[in-house]
Amino acid sequence: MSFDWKAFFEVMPQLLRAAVVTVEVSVLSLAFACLVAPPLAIARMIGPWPVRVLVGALVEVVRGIPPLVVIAFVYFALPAIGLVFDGFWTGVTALTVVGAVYAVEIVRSSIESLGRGQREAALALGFPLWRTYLELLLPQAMKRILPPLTNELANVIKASALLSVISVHEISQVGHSLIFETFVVVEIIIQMAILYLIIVGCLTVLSRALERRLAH
Amino acid sequence: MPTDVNVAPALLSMRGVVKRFGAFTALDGVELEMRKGERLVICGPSGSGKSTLIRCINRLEEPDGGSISIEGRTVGRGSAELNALRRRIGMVFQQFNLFPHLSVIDNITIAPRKLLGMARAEAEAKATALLERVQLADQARKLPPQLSGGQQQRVAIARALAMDPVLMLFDEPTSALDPEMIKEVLDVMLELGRQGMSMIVVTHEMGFARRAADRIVFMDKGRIVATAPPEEFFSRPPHPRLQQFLDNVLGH
Amino acid sequence: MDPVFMLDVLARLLPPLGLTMALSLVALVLATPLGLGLGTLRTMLPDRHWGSWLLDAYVFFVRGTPILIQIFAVYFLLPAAGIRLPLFWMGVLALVFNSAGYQIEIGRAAINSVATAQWEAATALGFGRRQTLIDFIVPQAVRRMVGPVMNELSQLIKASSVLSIITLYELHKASEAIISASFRFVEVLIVEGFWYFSFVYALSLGAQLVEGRLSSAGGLAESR
Repeated sequence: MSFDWKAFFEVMPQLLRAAVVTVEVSVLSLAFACLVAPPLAIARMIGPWPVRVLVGALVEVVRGIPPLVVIAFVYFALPAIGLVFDGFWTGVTALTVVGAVYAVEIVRSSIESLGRGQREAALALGFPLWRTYLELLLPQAMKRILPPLTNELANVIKASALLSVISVHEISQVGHSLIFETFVVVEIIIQMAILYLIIVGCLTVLSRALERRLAH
Repeated sequence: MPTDVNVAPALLSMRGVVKRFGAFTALDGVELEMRKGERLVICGPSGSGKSTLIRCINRLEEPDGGSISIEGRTVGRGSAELNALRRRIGMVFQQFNLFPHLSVIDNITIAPRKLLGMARAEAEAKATALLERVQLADQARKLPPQLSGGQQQRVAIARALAMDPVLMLFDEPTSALDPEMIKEVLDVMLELGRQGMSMIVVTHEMGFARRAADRIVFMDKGRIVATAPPEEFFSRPPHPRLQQFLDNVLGH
Repeated sequence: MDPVFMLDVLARLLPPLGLTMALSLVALVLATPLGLGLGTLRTMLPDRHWGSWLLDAYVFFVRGTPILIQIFAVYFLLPAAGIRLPLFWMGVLALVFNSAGYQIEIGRAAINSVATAQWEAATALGFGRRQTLIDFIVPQAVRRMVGPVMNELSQLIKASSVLSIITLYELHKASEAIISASFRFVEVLIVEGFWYFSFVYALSLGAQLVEGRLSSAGGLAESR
């Protein structure tokens, strides 16, 4: 069995188009997740107790079930509450939820690891509690947040493969159907893997660059 | 009692202040009056409640009982009130607690800029003047970890002064410092007192207490057991426990 | 919401839950010695050794691609290479392939976390490199592996849900089947989520407990 370069290049345009979808879904989900995670994390730490309990429960539950179940839930739940999204936006919603809860935990533990002296210094200056967290503790925690966050965001990109079950035309869905259309197996799977490695690799490179900038 | 202190308005009044941590009673009915411009040193054995006392004044600890009023006003538990209170009271911590991700000048300007809405230029001009006062004008752009402990603590003093506090609290400001750096911090504090700043200093530095304090407060087991001007405090200790404490502190 | 229906689903999902647990546990039992062993080996190899290159490439692949791709690889490539396996073992194989990659990193990190001072102490006593590793470093490192390996089991339980895609009738596949027969997604997903959550959460609590206790014990030993 030799490697069929011709087939490899024949499927490439379709897989590249699918890769664009993977990137779009991932970038949107990551952006939304990073946007909602800090306020949620702060709400979990210093919000009124019902908010703390609610956010805490959401975080623990979503972390405790497979992303596939979250996707299924969002897929069925959105129409049930009157939000009719297409597969793409359903996928973005589901991955945002998954990404956000992991990010909340990272933000929370990083801020808590700063120690209480920082918090007290800000309070003693008269900063309100939530501004202490948002303006002083969060920026300071960024350096600790970034490495584990990169890992989790990479997991979100990888979880985007699961959106194939709700027929988002991303790499895994397109690759899977190509295998059944063309019966080319090795070449397609290798190409899918390479595309994911490149996308995940880009995230890693970006976050390393950001880490270096934060280090100065 | 000297008349000039008597006519000055009351700055701080603590009545029957109680603070418990679980089963441990850290403050057991503290009574303390302080007038504007007074310099108080609080001393006492460790665990006697000194730090808890001053942390109750700016409400980093919420007292369980009693009342505390600043400039004649009792401050409630509402967060807006608390923040307003804290803006008028400066605090210097044992471990400095500078914000390590901000430069020296940003550490000093962040509170005036973000809390008082002061323009950057104005805040930095003020911070530069404060840095000159604590003799660190050349260190403005450095990050806290690049400074010695003594320098960091002087920055922390400047940071607190930037909010124009009516009262400065010092929580063992020299306990985490190497001996050769203690003097530079104490000198800044002495100068501050000379300029008329109202301050409460928790410290074991009896030399500083003798030179800088109007009154020395001695605490034991969560209570104030003696208050006296320095001369009297050292020559005729008004309490047997104090005599023992002074022997320990000054003995070697 | 219909509690009677939910109780019924709870019971009907028990056999698939059993399959999920079997897949995860068998995969863990196979992947752990493999992954931790290779991870320990990796710390012994110089970075430029071909073995290091191979292991690093493997870890890079496992961590850089979705588990779905790894499942596809097993599912499509094995038959293409003429290897026929029952579906269960295909699933186990995919999980082992995935988990061993992550556990290489666990093993490696645990070994590297043992202080250099320990190496120096043993070397100064005249122990060789391999003997130091086996007699001094590994016993200390093993304690630091327990928590992460427990966590790895919870990761495997979650990852095994993806095997539903190759029609393995585990917890998620079974839930999907009940949903498409009953159209009652809320009840079914809550019950399914309950089963996953109970085990994953219990394991993560256990891991935290173990890590807390063992690392504090380790900390005491170091400070003494």
